[in-house]
Amino acid sequence: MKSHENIIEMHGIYKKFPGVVAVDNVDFNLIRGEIHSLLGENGAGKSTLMKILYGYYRPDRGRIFVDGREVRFRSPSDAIKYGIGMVFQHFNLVDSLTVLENIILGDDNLGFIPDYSSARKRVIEIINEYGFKLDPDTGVGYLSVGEKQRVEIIKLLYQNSRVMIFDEPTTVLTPAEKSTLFNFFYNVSNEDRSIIFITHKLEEAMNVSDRITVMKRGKVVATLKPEETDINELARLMVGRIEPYEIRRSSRRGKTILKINGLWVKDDLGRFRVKGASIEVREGEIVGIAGVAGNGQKELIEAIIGIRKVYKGSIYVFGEDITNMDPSNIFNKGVIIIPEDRNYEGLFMDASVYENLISRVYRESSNKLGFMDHDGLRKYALKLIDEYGIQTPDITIPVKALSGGNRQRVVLAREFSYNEDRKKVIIAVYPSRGLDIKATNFVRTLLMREREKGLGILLVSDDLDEVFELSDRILVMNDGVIIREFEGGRVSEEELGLAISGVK
Amino acid sequence: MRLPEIIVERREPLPHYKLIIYYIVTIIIGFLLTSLATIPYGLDPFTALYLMLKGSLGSKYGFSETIVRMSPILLTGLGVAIAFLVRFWNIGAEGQLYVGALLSALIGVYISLPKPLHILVASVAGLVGGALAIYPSIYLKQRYGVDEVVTTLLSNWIYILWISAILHFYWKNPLTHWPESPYIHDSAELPRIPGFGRMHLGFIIGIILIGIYYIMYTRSKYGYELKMIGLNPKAAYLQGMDVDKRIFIAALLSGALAGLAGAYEVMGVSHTIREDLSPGYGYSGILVATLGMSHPIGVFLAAFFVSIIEIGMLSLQRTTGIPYPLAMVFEGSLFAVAALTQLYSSYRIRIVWRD
Amino acid sequence: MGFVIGVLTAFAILMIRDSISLMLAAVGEAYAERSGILNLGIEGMIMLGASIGFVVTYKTGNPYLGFISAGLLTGLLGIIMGIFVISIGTQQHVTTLGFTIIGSGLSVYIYRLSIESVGGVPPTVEGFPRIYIPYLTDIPVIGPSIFGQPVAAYVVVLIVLFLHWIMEYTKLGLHIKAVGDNPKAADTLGVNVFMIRYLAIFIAASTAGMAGAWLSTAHSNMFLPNMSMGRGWIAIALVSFGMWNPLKIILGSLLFGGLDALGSVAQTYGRNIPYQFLQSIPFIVTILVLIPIARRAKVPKALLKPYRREEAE
Repeated sequence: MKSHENIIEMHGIYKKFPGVVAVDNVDFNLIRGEIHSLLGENGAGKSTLMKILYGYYRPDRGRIFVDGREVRFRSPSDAIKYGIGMVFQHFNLVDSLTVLENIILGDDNLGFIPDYSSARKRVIEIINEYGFKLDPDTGVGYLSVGEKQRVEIIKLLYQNSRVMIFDEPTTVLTPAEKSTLFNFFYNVSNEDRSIIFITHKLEEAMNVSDRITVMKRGKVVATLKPEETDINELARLMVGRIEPYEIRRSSRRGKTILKINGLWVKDDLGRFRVKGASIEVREGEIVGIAGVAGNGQKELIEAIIGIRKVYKGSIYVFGEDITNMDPSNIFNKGVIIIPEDRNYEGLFMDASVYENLISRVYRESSNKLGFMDHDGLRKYALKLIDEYGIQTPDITIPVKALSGGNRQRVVLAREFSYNEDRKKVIIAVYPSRGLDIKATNFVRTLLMREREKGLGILLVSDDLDEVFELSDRILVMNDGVIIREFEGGRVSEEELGLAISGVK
Repeated sequence: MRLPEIIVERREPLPHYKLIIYYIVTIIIGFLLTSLATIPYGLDPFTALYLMLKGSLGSKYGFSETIVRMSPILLTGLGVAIAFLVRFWNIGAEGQLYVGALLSALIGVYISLPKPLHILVASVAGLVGGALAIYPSIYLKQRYGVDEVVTTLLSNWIYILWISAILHFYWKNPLTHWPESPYIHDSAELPRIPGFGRMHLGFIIGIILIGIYYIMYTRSKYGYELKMIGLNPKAAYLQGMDVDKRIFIAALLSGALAGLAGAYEVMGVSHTIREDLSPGYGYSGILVATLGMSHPIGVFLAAFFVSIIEIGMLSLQRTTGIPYPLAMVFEGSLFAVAALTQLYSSYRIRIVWRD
Repeated sequence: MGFVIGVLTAFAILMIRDSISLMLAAVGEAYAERSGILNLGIEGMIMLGASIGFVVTYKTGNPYLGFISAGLLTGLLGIIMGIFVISIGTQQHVTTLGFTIIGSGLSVYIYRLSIESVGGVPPTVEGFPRIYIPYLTDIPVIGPSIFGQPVAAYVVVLIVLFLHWIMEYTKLGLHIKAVGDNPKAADTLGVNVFMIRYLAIFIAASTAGMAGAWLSTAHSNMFLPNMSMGRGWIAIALVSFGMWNPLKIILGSLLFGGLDALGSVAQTYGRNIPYQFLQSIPFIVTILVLIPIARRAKVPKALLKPYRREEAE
């Protein structure tokens, strides 16, 4: 094969999804053996562009060259044949199968009756060569997030990928795992393989890349070398001009609102995931819980809001015991949740914007016979749409037709405006996940506004920056317990990162 | 070689009027496809359609028979619609109908009461019977998580077999020696509507119940809650709605209405309970609820439509010999039509030819 | 004594016969469900297969041809259903239930179109020859039930064991499990999700069709409307009962075949027993066995969920 300097060239790629141009006339090239970061906000089109390269999406227009020869991928299997592999942001593993079965799933050379022994040998070779600690016969369902990512990487190595695409691989990793991953990038790039690293984190792009391509709203705005630029320039390119939000700490902290004492909670499989955690949230403060996902945060939150049984320990709101009450009662005590998965826990996706906005207040506006005051409710909904700047052509369209940021606004409007006097503590779980910077800033500003009103906020996030910037106190959760507590603003990100990795 | 590929992609939600046009067009396509089966009988689809409409609507007798058919279908359809609203897949309306019929027949045969009261008590017996019949499925679903699709499907067979045993071995009609119950007292018979053949009061009551459902569906918090629970039970739960209790009540009501349909067949039409009391009113109810998308007006129109098809096909069978089961083929295809229409509202479906 | 042996023999023969149709339909259903499709069309497909199998056998005199045509043509109906639930991605409960009604209507339509009934007596066919193995077949009770069934019974056993082997030991089996659990993962590795699902639904429909043909040409030798008698629904429950594993499903079928046979034997031998109560036992037991496993069952994760690639984000 003739060696061509650019292993990948993409010309004039255009892809439209209903209502949005995801990739707009993009050129992109990848040099053999480089680590190339693709930087941009959520929704900038990075993932879509790479899914086109991987054959997962078909572009509406544009041409792709591999080693200087034009290719047309109909499905990922074509891309895999050309040595292109991709690790998606949400892992693509079949939980009911073993590691080995997952890896060989797409192997066309394996024949109808798979020769497991030779495949196993190759997988073990790869595992040993790269120092992954993994048993090929474990069920994937039993693996941790970090381990799952390793399985995905082994898939690429097993396929002998020359181009490895990683979509936001660092969000789920501890700082220690992160540096292992970056080391892996260096190692394989020395083997003449190329890496495309999709990220929205500026520092990461600066630190690991040979080149950085910045995307914004479906277009490439620049391709630069890290030594020719700096973080500020990248931020400007990536976001454009945006009103920064002002980071402020709590001005006054009052009485304890939420008090959690030695809480023990099990997961669905009956294993303890929260193992004696104690947490206190006071009026007028934001308490951030930092930690890698899967350390008991989910179970902790579910126990607080009453959808998971507390095994031992207790939860108080203003001294009143709410342990194991049902969710509607806990809500009535003033505990408000911004759920982790807004689409499937927070919203009724097929219902209208109107129906979504009134799902807290409809009871109060119903008479004894149960008739709803639709006129009053409609006015209320319109008021919220105005106040929270929800962009929607009409209140009767389904909420699923709105953008992610607007959906989150619907959730916030509904939860924050309900019964001002009763509201006491807000549990915000990954409140800005998947949102662009503008929407993220809006969410954060709102949280700070609620704090100024004297509410207590428990913030759970895997975004260290978010926890870092907003919290008055930061708790580090590891394996079901709070292992460290920091005063907000008095800890460096490095210190926090080390604490999360379990380094004391 | 070029191969067709079906592309399904999201689009902006479709306005209602367009959706209804799509819906009707799809139904017509379904009809045309099914009616190809009339060709071996020397009948083109349009003549078949004409004869069907003539048979079901073209005469006073035909029309009244259509309404007689519609009365139970309206009730089972309404019942199933309420269950489907909360995504409780009650496929057991047929069995519930029979249990309701059994209980009301018992009241009709063994108890004597003045006329309006007897009708009331026998109706309540029908409601109770249907509710009892669906109760195990609700309990098993909510307590043990057993899939209600399977339990309601199987319960149809259980109830119908039991009733068959009762009619064959314990409760034969002493007059006819047929496997049917003794005739109910006159006081338990639903009054007929004068001048309209076998048309009876059950139809009027069905219309009233649809009206009540309409008000609940559009104006009350209960309707709103049921809709939201059906769309996303987890979110509804987190919003403080009493999800399990609402599903329980909706499902119980669903069975009760199917039971009422059975009661009215006994009280209004046959005056006895037989093994072949229902030619599948329970299954037609599932179609009606699906086709009407659980909306009150939709359910009403669908019940009328399905009755026209069934009476029309029966008449077609009499006049031309085309087997009645062809109606089932068309009705079955309507399920697919309804499922397609649900999709149209937010997806575009196209076929492209690719290399 | 002779009476007891007679009853036992009849029971054993019927038990095997009932379980044959159940295992065929249920193993096929397991294929559909493992690939992510709940096939509530199964009941109608059994009826359609019964009709086609009977008509073809009646016209050609060849039950093997009847058996194969039932499998292929019902498989075709499965493919049509697949266009809706796989390619277009319509709601599975509603669509597949519709196909049960289509299948049941078609079965009677085809039968009436092809066969003129004489004087109300349903015509019969010769059906499959029964095998006879000297000595073995003569063993009381076990002989006629295990070594004296129609040839098709042994074909069916081979088919279901073959399907078990495919599911558990081949790459196709791996692909079916993968598309039913995480179709996106399979897709990103180059597995053609749609093709695999179509194949699975074809297998499910054609086994249901063959199960029906077994009913009309081997189990009994005539076609009756609704002759499936809820076997499709029991097959669906058997799939959960057997934890989506073909071998366990086959064993479960034997158990339910026995329960089914109970009702039939009672109907034949005891004129005064309300046999309908016995006939309802399989349905009741089916519900009962689902109770303890309902929450523990490892349902394929993508069951009921249509797969669309452009859906992401």
